[in-house]
Amino acid sequence: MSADPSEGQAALAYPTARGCPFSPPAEFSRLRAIPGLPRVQALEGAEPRLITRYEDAKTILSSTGLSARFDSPGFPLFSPSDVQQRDDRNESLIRTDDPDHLTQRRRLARHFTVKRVHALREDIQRTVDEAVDELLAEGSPADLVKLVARPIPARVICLLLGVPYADHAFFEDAASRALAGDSDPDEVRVALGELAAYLDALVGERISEADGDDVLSQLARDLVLPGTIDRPELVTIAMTLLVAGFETTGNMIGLGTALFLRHPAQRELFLAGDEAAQAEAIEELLRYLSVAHHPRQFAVREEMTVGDCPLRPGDGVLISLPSANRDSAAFEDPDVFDVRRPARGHLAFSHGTHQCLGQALARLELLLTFRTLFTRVPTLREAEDSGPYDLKQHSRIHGLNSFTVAW
Amino acid sequence: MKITIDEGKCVGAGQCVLVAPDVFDQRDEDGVAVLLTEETPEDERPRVQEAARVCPAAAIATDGR
Ligand code: HEM
Ligand code: SF4
Repeated sequence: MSADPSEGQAALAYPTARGCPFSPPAEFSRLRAIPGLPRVQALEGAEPRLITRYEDAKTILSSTGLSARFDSPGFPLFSPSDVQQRDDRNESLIRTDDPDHLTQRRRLARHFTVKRVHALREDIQRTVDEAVDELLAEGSPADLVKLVARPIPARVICLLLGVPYADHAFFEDAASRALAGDSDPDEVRVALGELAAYLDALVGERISEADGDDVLSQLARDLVLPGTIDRPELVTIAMTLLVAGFETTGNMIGLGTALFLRHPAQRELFLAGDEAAQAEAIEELLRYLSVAHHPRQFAVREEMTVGDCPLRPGDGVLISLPSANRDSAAFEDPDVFDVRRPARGHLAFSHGTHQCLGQALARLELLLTFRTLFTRVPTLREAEDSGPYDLKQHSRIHGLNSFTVAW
Repeated sequence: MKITIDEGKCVGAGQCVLVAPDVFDQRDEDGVAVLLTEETPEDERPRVQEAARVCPAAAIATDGR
């Protein structure tokens, strides 16, 4: 086995200090240029390897030699919420390994195919139109995060789960308190409890009726009634879809609007494009913002060599998707936001077996939102006295707590 | 051109369908990718290669060239 280029180097602190609110910490570009894989300080004395380059990230995420389970030897705990999730024995799809993972994922995948998502197009467009109506009704200036960025993904998830219209306001409010910002941990726990209780009751109803055409009713019919999974497992699935799809998409809408408003020429190019060009522009937005900035975390379970570094079973690895997406070896002038560049192949949805299941849905939500928002509110701008961006400080997903716009 | 999909690997992310909609589709039961037609015309090659490049599961292979 080859020598380890990073042998003997002290573990670094994980880079978190952003200069530009739209770009990952500059420290990552320094690290990408250094051969080998640096060690970084993680919780409980662990020193996992940090992967910052595109090729290395793609290689390791494609390999079958990783484990995403909290209980795998060497799994790197990184933030206090990891400790809590490990201790709660989090069983979500994201934290399971193949072959079980792929079996579970395929039960859900039929509901997220490109075809199924496109069948939702009119519903999503209506949801977007309603949110823009509410923004306009509020009057200028208004908080785009509160009126557009949160309601759209929340209501789309309501559609998927078949949450009755009368409960939408409760659902949106509880999801926002639990998942959307820098809230106090006690408040988060209360809100998560409310959501879990709500979803449990909803799942109960879906199982006893099981005649709806929403995803939850279909899963109840196809999986719970025949005994493939039980009721608590369906509640976990519902929670996973909510957690995975709400803050990610919402933060892309909030931060993406802010980015477009800072780059009016790019906004014009986006609006002038046909559907295919607009779809490519959304890829660039996903690459550039890479809101899933909390590192992907895995334990190595098979020997492999990545970035010229030998990795052994029991090693931990952290992978920065935002860093990989700003690697000049993969994207020309990576720090330039250019809606016309070929950005597909970015890692904003990760790569390999855990790559985002909801990506077709997320892409369509983003496309319809930006197109509708900028077409219907052509004079949209940052409010004059909006001050510095109200960035989330402690969130696993990068985004804005609020964003005051005017028109 | 000849295309093979490794069904065992496919994770149903649907990137192939977005990149080459005239070549790939996804099975209704489990989202696994399938070919729409037995014969794929040669002029789809760039799109198919792009699909193979972005496929998260490295499940798409094409004949040489
Ligand atoms: C732009 C918005 C989104 C972004 C940036 C995003 C990003 C990601 C990323 C990076 C992962 C990998 C997680 C990991 O390995 O730790 C992931 C997984 C996942 N996402 Fe998304 N996501 C988005 C929207 C959605 C939506 C709308 C849904 C569904 C409602 C969804 C459902 C999922 C699920 C179920 C997984 C787990 C897949 C697995 O482990 O096999 N996501 N997403
Ligand atoms: S891109 Fe790859 S993993 Fe995704 S559906 Fe197509 S073949 Fe399957």
